[in-house]
Amino acid sequence: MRRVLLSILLLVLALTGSLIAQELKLPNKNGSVKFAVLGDTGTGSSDQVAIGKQVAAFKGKVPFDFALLLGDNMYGGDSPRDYVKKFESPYKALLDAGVKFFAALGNHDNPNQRAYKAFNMNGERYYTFKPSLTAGVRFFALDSNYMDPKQLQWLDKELAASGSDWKIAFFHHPPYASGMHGSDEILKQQLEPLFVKYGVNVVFTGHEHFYERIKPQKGVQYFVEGSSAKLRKGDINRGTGLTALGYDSGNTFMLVEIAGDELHFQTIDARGQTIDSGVVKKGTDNRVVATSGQGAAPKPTQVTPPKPSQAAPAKPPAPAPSPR
Amino acid sequence: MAELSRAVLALFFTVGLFGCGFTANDQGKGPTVPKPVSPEQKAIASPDNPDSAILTDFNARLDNYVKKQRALLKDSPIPKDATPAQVKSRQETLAAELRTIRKSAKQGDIFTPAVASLFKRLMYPEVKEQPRETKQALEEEDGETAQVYLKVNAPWPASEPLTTVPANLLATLPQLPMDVEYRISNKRHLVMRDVDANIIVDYIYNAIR
Repeated sequence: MRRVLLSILLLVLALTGSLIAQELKLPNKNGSVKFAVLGDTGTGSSDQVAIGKQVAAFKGKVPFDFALLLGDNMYGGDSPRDYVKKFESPYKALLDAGVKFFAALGNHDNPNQRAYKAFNMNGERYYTFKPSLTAGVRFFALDSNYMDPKQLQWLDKELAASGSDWKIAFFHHPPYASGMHGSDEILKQQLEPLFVKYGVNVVFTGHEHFYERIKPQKGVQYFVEGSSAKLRKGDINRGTGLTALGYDSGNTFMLVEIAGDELHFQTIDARGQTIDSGVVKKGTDNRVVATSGQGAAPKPTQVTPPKPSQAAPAKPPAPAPSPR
Repeated sequence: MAELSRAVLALFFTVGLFGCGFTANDQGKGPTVPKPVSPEQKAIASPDNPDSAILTDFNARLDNYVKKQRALLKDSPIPKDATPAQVKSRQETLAAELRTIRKSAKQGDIFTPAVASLFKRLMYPEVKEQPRETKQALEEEDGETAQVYLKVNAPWPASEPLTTVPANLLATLPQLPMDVEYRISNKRHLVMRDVDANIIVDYIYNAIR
């Protein structure tokens, strides 16, 4: 009898655990912009497949239409077989469900990927797109491997012309990060003035093989999501002072939902556990005024665990925002 | 008499100022201080640039290459919505065609000794002024570095990362058309790579010192 009771108890615990594990933290509102974010994916490994499965499972809860790839979409070879092994197969369920992928190039990517239909780059190394005409959100995919003056001029022009409320940039190398590479200072010198001038709100990058939510910098919220297949355990340097929350113990991906002046995010690991979740709020001047977040990572691996009352301190908005 | 002396002194003082080129009107023009030249300007052939001849020669050699490459691509361009097989096949066919028409190509055909020397000079201030940041930007993952056996017309191996070229270095070099790009091997050799064909067009050993 005891054994039966114990079995029932274990079963209930397992079921509850699994339900909690796949808990959705996003508001899932009608008409909002929803998407997934994956970085440093192209290994073809079991870790990539495991994350792919979780993304597909959450697609059942959040009906997102597209996903951002933050570069290193294809490590090593890029033969047709590699495309299958490192992209088409791990994300088959998503591709079959009509999810569109928008890729940025990483340092392991052959720029010829820009012609690959499923990456939706339209033959360009850097490009911009709007998920819908009415959404008020515009994305800017950059090639951070090769930030030549031509690309910077293009970005300046496109940002100046964008009337979107939310401007989201995504690329491979992080201007802010606390890993072995650290913040890419040269890239920061080039891009940050444009982000600040034109009110880019959120930036997604990869390259570092962990998840890190950076404290808002000059009115911009940066995320590092480079662990959707690769992982560098214990790599987050706690001393940089940049980290609002970091997770370097497991592979992760992000779900994002934009509704009005709020961008909700949820970071999930390969078991479906929520590692981080919160809201990025922007003010009337289009700058991020606050990011609140709550990590739920296992204690030993969590860096600077924030309490709700200790949400990432928002820097005051810089004066003289873009007059557009 | 005293007044006359003062007037003469004032006249001498004014003439002296003009002689030195120091007048209120001239202050804004700054005739004795040449305008600072930006790194981008140094990489552009223009009458003011003392390196104009070298840059013009470089541009002509580059144009010659790009014209040949584009002529080959014109007949069968890579579609913008290609399958992986189409991407790979076009890359390999183009590489083979380029090797055929550039059978005798060798190092220095585009990066001539004069061009190589100029490029090293153009990049040096950045390497000197931001050594830590530049080095950091050249770092690859997990300590790995692109170590490519450099040979004209050889492919950039799939096993090697396509190393990031720091933006500060790119700003000092002549801009390239979209068909070719700069890459760096072993953290110091500058390579010109054909983007569409994935082959090494030319290279400069130890360009980053």
